[in-house]
Amino acid sequence: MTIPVFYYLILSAVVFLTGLVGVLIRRNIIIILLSVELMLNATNINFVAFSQYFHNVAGQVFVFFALTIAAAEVAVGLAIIIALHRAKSSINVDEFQLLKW
Amino acid sequence: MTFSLTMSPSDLLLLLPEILLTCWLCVVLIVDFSFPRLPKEQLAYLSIAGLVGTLGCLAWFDISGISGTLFANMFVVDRMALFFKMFVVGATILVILASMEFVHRFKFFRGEYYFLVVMSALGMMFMASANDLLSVFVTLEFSTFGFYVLVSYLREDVASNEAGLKFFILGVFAAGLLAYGISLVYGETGKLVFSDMKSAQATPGLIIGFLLIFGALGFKIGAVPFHSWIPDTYHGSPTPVTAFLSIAPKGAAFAILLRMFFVALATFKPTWVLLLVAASILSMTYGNIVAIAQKNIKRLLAYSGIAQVGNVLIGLAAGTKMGNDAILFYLLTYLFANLGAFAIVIAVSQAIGSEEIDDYSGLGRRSPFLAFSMLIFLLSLAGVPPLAGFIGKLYIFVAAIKEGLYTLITVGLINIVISMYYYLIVVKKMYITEPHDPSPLAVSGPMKAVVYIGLAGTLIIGVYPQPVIDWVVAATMMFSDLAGPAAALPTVPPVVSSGG
Amino acid sequence: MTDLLIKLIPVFPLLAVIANGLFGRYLWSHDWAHRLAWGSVGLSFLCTIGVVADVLRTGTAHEVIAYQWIFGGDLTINLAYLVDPLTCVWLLVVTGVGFLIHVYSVGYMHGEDGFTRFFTYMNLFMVSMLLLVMGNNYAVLFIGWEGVGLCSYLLIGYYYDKVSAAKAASKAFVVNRIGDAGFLLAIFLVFINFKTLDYTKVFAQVGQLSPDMATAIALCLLVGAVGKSAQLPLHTWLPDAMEGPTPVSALIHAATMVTAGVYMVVRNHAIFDLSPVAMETVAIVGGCTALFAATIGLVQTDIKRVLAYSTVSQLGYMFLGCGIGAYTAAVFHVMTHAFFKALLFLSAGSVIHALSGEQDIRKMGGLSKKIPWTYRLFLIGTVAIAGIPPLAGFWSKDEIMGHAFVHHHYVFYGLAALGAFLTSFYMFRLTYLTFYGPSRMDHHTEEHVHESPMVMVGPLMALGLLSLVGGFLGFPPEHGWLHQFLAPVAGVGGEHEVGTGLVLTLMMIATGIALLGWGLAHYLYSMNPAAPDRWAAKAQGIYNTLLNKYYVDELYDVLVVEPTKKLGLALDWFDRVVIDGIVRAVGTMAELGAAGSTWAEKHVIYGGLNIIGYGNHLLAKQWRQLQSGMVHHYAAIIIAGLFLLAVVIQLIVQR
Repeated sequence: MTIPVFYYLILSAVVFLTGLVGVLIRRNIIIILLSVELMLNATNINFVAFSQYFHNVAGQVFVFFALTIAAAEVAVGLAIIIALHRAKSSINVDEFQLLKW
Repeated sequence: MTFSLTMSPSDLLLLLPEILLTCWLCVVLIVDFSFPRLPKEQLAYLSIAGLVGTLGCLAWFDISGISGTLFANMFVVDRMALFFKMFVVGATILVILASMEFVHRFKFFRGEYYFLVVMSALGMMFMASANDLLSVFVTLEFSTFGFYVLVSYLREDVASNEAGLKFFILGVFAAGLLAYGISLVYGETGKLVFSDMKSAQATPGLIIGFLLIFGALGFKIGAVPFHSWIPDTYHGSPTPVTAFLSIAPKGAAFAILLRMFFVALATFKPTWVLLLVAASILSMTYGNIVAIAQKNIKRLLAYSGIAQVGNVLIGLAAGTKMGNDAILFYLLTYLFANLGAFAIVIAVSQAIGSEEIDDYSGLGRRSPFLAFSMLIFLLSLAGVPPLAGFIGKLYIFVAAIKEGLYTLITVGLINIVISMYYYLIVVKKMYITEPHDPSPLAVSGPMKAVVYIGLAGTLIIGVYPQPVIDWVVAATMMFSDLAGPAAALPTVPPVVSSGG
Repeated sequence: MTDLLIKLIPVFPLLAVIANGLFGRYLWSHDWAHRLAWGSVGLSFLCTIGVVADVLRTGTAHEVIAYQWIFGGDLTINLAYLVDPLTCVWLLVVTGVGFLIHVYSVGYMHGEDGFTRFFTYMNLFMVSMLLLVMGNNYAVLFIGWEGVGLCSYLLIGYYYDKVSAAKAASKAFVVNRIGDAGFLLAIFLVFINFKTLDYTKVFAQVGQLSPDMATAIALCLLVGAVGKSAQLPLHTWLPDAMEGPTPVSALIHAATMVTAGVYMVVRNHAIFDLSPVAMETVAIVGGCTALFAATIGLVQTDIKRVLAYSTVSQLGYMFLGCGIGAYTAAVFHVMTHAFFKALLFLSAGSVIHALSGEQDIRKMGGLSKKIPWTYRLFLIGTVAIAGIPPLAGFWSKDEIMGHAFVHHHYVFYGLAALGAFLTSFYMFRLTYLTFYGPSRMDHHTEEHVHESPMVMVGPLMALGLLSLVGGFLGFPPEHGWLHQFLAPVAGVGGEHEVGTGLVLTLMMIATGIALLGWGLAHYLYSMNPAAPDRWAAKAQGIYNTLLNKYYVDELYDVLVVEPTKKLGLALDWFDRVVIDGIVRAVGTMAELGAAGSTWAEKHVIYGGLNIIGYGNHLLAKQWRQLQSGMVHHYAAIIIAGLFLLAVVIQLIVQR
């Protein structure tokens, strides 16, 4: 029995929205970073499912690139977080609102 | 779908500028590591040498008409790609020249700064060639990574850290939206290459997908409502990085936008024209009006940049070849005026350590050269004849008039008048307000070079734009079949001299 | 040959700009800078004479392309010149009067800081003005238009360390932008309708224009003209512009630039003719300005400000002339006005020069003996502007008034006649206060009074001569040399054959009005010097209103300037408070949803006990968070924007 592609779509949409809402409402930068990773992983679910559905390898290729980019993002992101923590001893985004208006 | 990875040397030739720059990038990094006591200025000149070489190579491609595609249509070299690559490389050279003095403010990793700038430029060169959604995603992120680091380069400075944080969070957020949008488009069409999507149907998935992609690109160019990162990031970044950020990614992103709208989405033109009209009106109005209330010159230029992007979107909304010519032309005039203005911000900031507009008081007497150049750049940004910016605006507006976008033109004209107001505030400060401290300002050699190049570009393109017009018209030849309705208009023959 | 001369006209001043602007400060002395400056304008003048002679002889218009821009294939914009009789008149005035003023400036500006800078700007102005009047299409006109605006801005703010000068410069610039917006709109409307910007092509197919469109274009053009020519309600910048050096006031703010609006209206008369509404508006604007500015001129005490208001008023006459179809008369008045107003300004400059910078006429008096040449020439200017025959001003002003009467515009005739009376009065008042009566100067100034050098008086004499005889170019009225010359371009005004008797009567009335004004001034300021103060005291309210220029500036401050500043702040506030508030509310709701279970646990249990307390807490939290700068608000803006655009697309797709 094959699982219809629609189910995957639902799953990925839920994961994506979880990530999106996480970015919007969480204050801890690490959690925000994790939420973005959720968004990217939702994308990966989509791509793998569609790739299977179309019998087309391009989607899976995309997943590999997306994983690489996600890894690079985390590396840069953690570096920035360390710098921030050194400067302000905090990783709560609410603390950073010097620049406004 | 199969990927053919058999490449002939002639295929590799298409990648030559990128390969050249990649190798040079490694050289810069190795030299930096191997000779730690080498003055960092030498690294800057080394980077510039590599970039000039790349520029030469691109010019050679352009002149000899080398073009083609690679990697199953993912990577395309045509005259438009070459135009934007030269645009990016040129901007990078100017930014490096403008950074040389500023780099002394960094406590660590002064050498890597140049590496990161050139690496971002490399990413943007790839962006200019991106011809499918996978390469759009990868190149967009590639070029942005360098910027994440560059924006937070002043590690001791809280503002720089904060700018880096905001840019990073919003950047990866936009990347998430982009990736999800691409996955939806892929799901609806099964294709990733732009030119394969021509026959797509307007399903909800496709619309949402492309909307998300447009959001990510709009984020890159800073169009309202995706502009929110611009003011804070521009404000907090090291000023040369702000300058870089304000021009190069916009050029590269417009390359992608042009390919996406005119190749993949050509059949949906009536829909996206209105989308662009909305974004354009919002950007111009929001940018210009909020700019009036600004006290910091970088924030002022940030909001002015949002408004300028609104102007460029007018050209995109025209949806014709002429509109696209105008976009290329406008971006080029913007390159000179904007980088010139930022160069002066950097020079003033080096000399007096401030970026507040109040501290520009009496600049006309403290440094007539800087003040006069700033005047020229601001007037060009505002679109006063006979400077380059005027021709750019004229070109864009004429293209839009031919398509009957009268509402957009009217809003644009009103916005020009509004924008004069805040540009004039700066001019007034420079020439009319008494200086707090009348001592003259010193300007370094490389900075003067940047300002002179900016001035030359602004004045020459303003007075004698014909070669540039010819160049951009040739660069967008791939859109010549778009001419459709415009070609049907009565042509305007040149005036014949009479009574002579 | 003629084509070459035409091309050369703007080139000489341009070369002088480049030379003086780039090298003037380093390579050569002031002497060479000014020689270059007036020499180049003189050469342009010679070229102009050659060109005008050719146009006169052959009677054809010349169209010459100097340079071409081609945009993307089918759109061409040319830097091309059209020299027809209308352009010829302006060319003669601009280069001729311009040359004299340049020569005068050598003496006037002697020893000032930034001598070279002054002449660079002046020459740049000449280039722009020449482009403005010579262009054969709207684009060149616009470039010249902006160029003269920029030079005017730079020259008003010439004494940039003076705060009032700087303010006046900004004001001129901003007010002119309002006019420019209208002008730009008009250009775009023209392009939309005709798909070309060339005058000849536009006017050839002007008949296809619908009356509504013609009205729209004409009114937009009028907005531009009103800004540039300082007509009601955009007149406020011109009197303030007197902060610039006096030769600038003479050249830019009296003789040439401010008449650009008139040039534009006359040039586009084919469009205006199609729209009676627009014509009526032009006439009303002109007539009202003529009277309005004249009344303000009655009480001003600064010699240059009186002249400035008189300029505004005289420009009103020109607009009135255009509005009632007397284009030739309007052009004629532009020409004579250039002569006598330049003369008046330069003589005023000579007075100011003699008094070491004093401009207040209450501190002058009795100068006629001390600076006799300046006095004689100023008197010629006064008699000319007052409209006393046979001097220049009489003929042109009388022609406009006569045209109004003959074509049954009696209201306008009344406005113009009243204005003429006031003009004569305040100009003679100025003359009496400056040159007659006892000296009211302080001792120190009085000792230093001296006649200006020949380099200043010489140009004055030339202008004086022109003011004396310039009127005869349009003699006999309606059939003069100028009328025949302009007939091909300005349309035919005098279709009405009018009896000689009526013409003579009108002339007598006009002369009578002028003499009456003189008489009143003579009575008040010469015979009975105590009377004016008494009169002013009696009509305190009117006097103060006039002295404060009808409070128009204050009105604009309250109505326009402050709200504009506030709008920027308000939108900024809107962005911070309202948008962020909405974003924040959305965020809070999402937060509530996410923390729903915890919330239920806590608050369902503690029930209604804490409802009020929690409400306060929520509100406080919201208000506290209104200050943005927070990154998740930004993310929320992106999402909200995407939703907005999705809705837009949905609407489009459904349609």
